[in-house]
Amino acid sequence: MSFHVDINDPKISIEPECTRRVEFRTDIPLDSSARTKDVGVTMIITGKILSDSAEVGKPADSTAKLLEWSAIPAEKKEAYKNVVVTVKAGGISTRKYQLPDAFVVDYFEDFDNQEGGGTFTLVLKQRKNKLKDVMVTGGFTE
Amino acid sequence: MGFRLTVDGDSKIEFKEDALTQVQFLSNTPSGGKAFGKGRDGLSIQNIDYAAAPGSGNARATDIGLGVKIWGRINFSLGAEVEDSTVTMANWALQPSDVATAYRKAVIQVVASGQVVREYTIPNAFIVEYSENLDDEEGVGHFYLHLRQKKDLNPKVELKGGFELS
Repeated sequence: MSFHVDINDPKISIEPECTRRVEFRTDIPLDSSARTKDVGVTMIITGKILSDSAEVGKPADSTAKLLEWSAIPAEKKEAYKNVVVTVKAGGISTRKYQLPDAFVVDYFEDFDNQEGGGTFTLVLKQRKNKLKDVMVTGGFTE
Repeated sequence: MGFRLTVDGDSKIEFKEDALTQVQFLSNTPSGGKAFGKGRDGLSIQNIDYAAAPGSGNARATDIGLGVKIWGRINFSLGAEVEDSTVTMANWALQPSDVATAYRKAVIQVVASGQVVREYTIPNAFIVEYSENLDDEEGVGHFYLHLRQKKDLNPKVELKGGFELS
């Protein structure tokens, strides 16, 4: 199983070797006695920050661009990006998550001197008034 | 994978690969924050998977907090031939906010295989947390440092990565 994370405007493609885990979850308030209108969508992407590089001076992966995205303030339109995560297994796209107006809630980068690489955790949410634009599809070949 | 930290000021603080053990970079917004995501807390070095429900963020917040958490060893120098930067660090942590040197420029580098994987430049860093841990069983001490950029000057933070080690 591999994850293809594509973020548009401007394009950031996270290499499939980097992404280890994708969590897609809906945030529904637990304290409601009937169905709520206040539904949110959160996506948590965790993965590796690669440090090896065939060419010295050329980054080994695109994770540094996630770091830049996480520091963009809300006033700029680049704070919202179109995020497409495709889960591929055996030649089939088993899942495709599309969050067209995703913003960064939290971003962490962890490094350790006992490991050769670092890890990143990206917590995304879809802008709540654009919730209907979230698409979850799957089971097709591309 | 190694780490380097340099802090400018009247008394320069410099840590190299032999002292620093872990680095975490954080970019937090109020709707997420400490209660969410994967992270570490204080001197306890185990990973914490926060299971708390996420905040109800409707849209991107303007209030972004940028910071770095650093863990390292206090290497007591034999014969005092090398200056121990943790002393300067402890004194910086004690400074009140009305002193000019309360804010300093900090540069953290993550270095591996001849290249700088990450370079965080925090030009107006201040200390939020600093602790030292010493006991009679281990030969070295441990410290934990949490730096934050002064929030109104967030655009001055430089985040770079993937260039050749000079």
